[in-house]
Amino acid sequence: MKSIFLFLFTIFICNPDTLLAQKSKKKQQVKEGLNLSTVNRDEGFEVIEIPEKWKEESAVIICQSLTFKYIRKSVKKISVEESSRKRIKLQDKAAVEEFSKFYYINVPNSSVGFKIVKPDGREMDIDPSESIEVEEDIPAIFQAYGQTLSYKKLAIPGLEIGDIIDYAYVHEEVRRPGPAEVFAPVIMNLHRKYPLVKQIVEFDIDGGFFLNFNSYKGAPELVEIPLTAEQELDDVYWDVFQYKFVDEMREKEQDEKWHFPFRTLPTVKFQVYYLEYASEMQASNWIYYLGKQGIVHNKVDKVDIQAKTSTCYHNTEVIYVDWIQKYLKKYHEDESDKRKLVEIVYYYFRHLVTIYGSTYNQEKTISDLVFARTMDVVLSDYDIEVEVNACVPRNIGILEEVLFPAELSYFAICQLDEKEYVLLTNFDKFTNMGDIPYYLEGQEGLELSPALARGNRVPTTNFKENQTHTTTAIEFNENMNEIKVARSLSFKGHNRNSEWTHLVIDSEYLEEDLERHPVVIKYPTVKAPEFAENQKEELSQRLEYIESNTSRELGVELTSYDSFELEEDGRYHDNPILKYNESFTLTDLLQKAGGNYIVEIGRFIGKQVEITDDIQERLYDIYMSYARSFVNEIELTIPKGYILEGWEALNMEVKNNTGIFRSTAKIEEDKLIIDVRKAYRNNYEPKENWSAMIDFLEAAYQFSQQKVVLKQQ
Amino acid sequence: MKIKSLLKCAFLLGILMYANLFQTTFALSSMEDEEPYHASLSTEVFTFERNKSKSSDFAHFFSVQQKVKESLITEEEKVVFANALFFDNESEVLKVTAKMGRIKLPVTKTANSYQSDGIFHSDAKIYTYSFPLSMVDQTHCETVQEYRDFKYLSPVYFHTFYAVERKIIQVKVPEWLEVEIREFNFEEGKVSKRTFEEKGGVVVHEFVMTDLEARKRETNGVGRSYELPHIMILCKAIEIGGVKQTLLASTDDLYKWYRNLVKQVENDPKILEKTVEKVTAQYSEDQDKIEALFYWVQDNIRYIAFEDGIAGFKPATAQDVFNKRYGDCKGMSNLLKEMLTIAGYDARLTWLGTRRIAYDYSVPSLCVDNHMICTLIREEERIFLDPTEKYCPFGEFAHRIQGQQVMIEDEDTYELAHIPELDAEQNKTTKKITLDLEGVMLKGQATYEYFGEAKVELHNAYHGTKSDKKEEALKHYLSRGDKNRRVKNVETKHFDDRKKPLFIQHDFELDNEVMEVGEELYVTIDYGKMFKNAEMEEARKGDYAFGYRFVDTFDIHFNIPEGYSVSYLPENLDISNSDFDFHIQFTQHDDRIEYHKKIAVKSGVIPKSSFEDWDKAIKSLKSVYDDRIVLKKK
Repeated sequence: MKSIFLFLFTIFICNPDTLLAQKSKKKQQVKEGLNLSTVNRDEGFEVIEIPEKWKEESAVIICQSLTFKYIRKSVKKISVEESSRKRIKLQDKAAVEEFSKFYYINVPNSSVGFKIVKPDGREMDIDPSESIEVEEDIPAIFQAYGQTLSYKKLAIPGLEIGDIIDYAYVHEEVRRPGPAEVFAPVIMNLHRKYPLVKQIVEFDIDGGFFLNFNSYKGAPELVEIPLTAEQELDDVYWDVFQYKFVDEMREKEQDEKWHFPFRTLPTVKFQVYYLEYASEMQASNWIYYLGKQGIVHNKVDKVDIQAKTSTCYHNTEVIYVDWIQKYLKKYHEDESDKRKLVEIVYYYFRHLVTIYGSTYNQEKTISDLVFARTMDVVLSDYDIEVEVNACVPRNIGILEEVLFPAELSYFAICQLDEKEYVLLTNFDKFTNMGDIPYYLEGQEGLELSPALARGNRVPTTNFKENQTHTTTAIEFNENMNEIKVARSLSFKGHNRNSEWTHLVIDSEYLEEDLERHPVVIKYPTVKAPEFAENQKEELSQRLEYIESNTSRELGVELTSYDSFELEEDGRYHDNPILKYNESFTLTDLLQKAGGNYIVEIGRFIGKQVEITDDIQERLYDIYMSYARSFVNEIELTIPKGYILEGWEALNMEVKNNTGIFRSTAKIEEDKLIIDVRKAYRNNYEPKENWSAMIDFLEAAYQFSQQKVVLKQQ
Repeated sequence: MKIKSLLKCAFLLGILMYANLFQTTFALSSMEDEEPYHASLSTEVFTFERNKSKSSDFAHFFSVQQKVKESLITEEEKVVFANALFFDNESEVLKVTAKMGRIKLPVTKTANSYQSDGIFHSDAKIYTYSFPLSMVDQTHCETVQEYRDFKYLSPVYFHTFYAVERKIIQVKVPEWLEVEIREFNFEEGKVSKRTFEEKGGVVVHEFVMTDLEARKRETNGVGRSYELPHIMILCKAIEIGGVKQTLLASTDDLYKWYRNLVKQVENDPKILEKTVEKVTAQYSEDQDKIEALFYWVQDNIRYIAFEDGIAGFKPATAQDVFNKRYGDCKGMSNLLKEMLTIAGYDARLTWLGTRRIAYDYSVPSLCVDNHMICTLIREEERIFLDPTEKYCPFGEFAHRIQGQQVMIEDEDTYELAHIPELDAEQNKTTKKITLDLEGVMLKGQATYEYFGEAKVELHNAYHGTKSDKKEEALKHYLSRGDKNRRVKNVETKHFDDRKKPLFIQHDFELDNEVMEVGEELYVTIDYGKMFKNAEMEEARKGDYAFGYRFVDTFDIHFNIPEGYSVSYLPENLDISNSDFDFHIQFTQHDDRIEYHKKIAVKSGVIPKSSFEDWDKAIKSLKSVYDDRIVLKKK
């Protein structure tokens, strides 16, 4: 197995089909013809019938198992065996088609086996001799999570509607362990693509391994299984502990908009560690939360998080410190304003990493801890106390439920004086000082120094802070068959996030940034000419993107896209607005009715969320990325010889505790002036608030369908 | 206007969304950007070399070398030239080099297996190579490829995906080889030809074209063999020891080769007998038995193609396909033939090229066909059965094989015939809708009826959708995912009978198509707006092929609400030419408006020469769609 340390900061968010994926890239044959009963003999794998209530489903998972065995074979050898078995009844043509071309991972030390069970109970082994090695076009359902791997594909012979396909996969490695091994953490919700009669997760670990496991949101608990007399006598060096988790009668997964499955659905998390007794100290550069060897650890204490992270934090590399210090000394020696100093350090550090340290198309990134530690060391020279905080992203969970370090992000609080502080998080090339990632908003931060534990909660931005403001000027050509549109769009707060990478081209700000941040020591130099050389192509790609984006946003074909200008890039907090102007021509939103014209004026606020009949009911709580608002100021010039009718219906207002939709329309001289405001007040709503959300979302949709009439005078 | 939208309305959009059957798209787009380089000269030379083969197959007595030399030019910086060669078990890439002046350039090369759509496995491989170009000077690239068996030589095209100033193709034929060079799509005066002799009696056939524009593969193209000039090198005979030995000189020779492969296929009827008996037991009429067997293969054998070496030409045995429940066109046709034979009928394997291939059997080459079906012979009647076409009823044929010439086996001889062409009416869709106005909401009752390919397409999408999603998918298809259109009370007929037309009846409510201002109502009754914005993409260079020829009719009966009269009706539209018909008629009665629309694409193809007419017609269509009926209070 490849060094498991690679996965330290990656959580495997996965389904059991693809869990066994952390293998090498070597091209070597998987062994075929695995006897399925050696993988798991649970009685669930003997079942042929499915519950009556699932007869109309496309397929039903009758039983699936995941088994992990971590055993020391000798003082210097460990055996890691991971296996899965799955038994699925295929009840329609779509399911047969999905499984008739079967793909599986092709790596060393692994075996695979298949069989088909006919409706009358006849079992047919599948001959895998005609399987073919394949590297590309692996259907998503068969794809392993993580690395690109070698696969084999097999056309499953004799597969018909009503058949059960039963297959298993085993990977086993016996090897010399490193002093500390951190196996990939897993977070898994229990709903699958198809309804599931029974699923089992089992662990066999000996007393040299640590197992962190916990169940959340109603997922069944892991229980210890006493060893049989026969198992007690097995030739192993140390005591073996067996744990099992059984889940039954789980409905298939349901897609819902604005949903964080790990916050609402039954979920389990687990991670296995191995530490050589004598070398625990060597592992102190790694963060790990351990219980007792062989015993399930299901609760990580905050003190443990603080202690372990703190050790690691203080050992974190600080290679940028020297360069930042030299820069400060040379260019800002006299600076004494603490806020200003934080600002200078933040932007210089951002420049060093994301611009100076990057090459074209490959932006360098650093970890949260390197970011915080560097700020800490540099700013400590100026009496600015920096405290690093651990925090769980909103889509993963909450601090009290942390089970392994990969769940955590980190941010820094720079205390400027007794009252004033600045909250800083790791950057990319666009983020401003003080920007907080939306996924940390409202989450509890845990300071690493226990003495200071203040229980900081990350502030939540409000809808006004995350805003898109669009002004639209609409005119008609003389022949009244084209609409000329000029728009100006500005984005602030998180609403910039999805726009930045498409709108801002590196070469446009590179020169200014290099000038603004002189580099004081030798370092792999950014290849500025390389950015410049690609500017032409990037400009054309941007234009192509923005044209199609505008077309997609309004839901119309543009007759022509006439101009684009980036006005502000929003890369510094003193000028944080991202802004561009554009103009284009349309024919689509203009219709005739006798001698009159109908203008689909509502469409100019862009496509709106469509609440159809089938999503009136809400299953789960509503988790959105952040509160946000959209302001549209529309000005339509009424052509000479026409009067405008039907505009009164553009006045609407729905306001409740979840959101706002308000539009006001008036005529001033020859212009129709509309002001439209829409806001999502919060980033979270309990499902009970769904109907209130529907109220303002539906109002916005209905506005988008509104039309006005230009009547000939 | 550049159109990248769906064309034949979002025909199966709803169902496709769930079934992931995106192969049935009707996008009018496809051209990628022009490459930032071109070739000033491209010379492609074919030579033939004798081998010391002891094989009994004369094909292995010589090999064919294809050497391409190109001078590449770019006017931009940092340009990388990337190209690919295809090879398989019978061919090999021998050399790829690039030079600028005397400097040898580093060439990045990779060889991978090549998977084309619908083929589960083949021996086809792709050899990609790339190298940097310079603005300073021309870059000279040379590739050499060898074919160990002449039969696998592909047609040779003048055009490629980048522009070429001057293209020279030379075929150097030695004295010991008889070669015929067949020319295709040579426009008068566009290709200059000459023949001259080189040392050793080698006869050189030279073809030169100049100023060739870049031609890339376009989606919904008719197939480049119809459009682009090319040649085919036909190796007809070889002289061995003073004796002339025939290679592939005629259709007879081609059949002989196919026949030889088919003779090696040892079907075991015993394995199939019980199933044949079971499938046909309930029927007494021949017609019913034949249909039952045809449908059994369609329904029970999945199409999974293996084209590894000779498997690309030789059918799998009937029992192999039967046991595995999957096969390619050859395997499925062979199984059907064997089952029909067991049942006592005269069934034959039949080779053909699908519509994408421009050639017929007058060309003795493996390039002329790419498909196999089964032909049932009853007295003088030839009944063509394609078991790969799921849900295709007996007596109908997929558009892709209609009109194609076929080669039907007959022991050591063969018969050439043609599959009948069916007209656009065979693939019609009719939609009949009654609309009433309730406030500003339209309420409708609709009956849709599907025939031919339109029906088969819907069958495939419906049956390929998961059972628990079928109802939702059908509603999504009928409403086209439009929130304003709420579909209710859906009833379908004949999803279980491929022989009958498909019916879908449903009710719906439609918002935001009626606007009330003062005493007037502005009403849109054709809410589907088929082909609105369906202009051809400006950059498109080739003809546009729909999946099939079709006629769609819409009859909308709109009841005028009480107290209103019609104050304005949009103009009618009547456009008809050899390629398509767009016809719209509004008829006003006292209490109702009858709207009749017919859209027909007669041959299934809009030729490039008709693009201007097409775009003009689409604009006219759009202007009708964008014109509303006006009702006024009495």
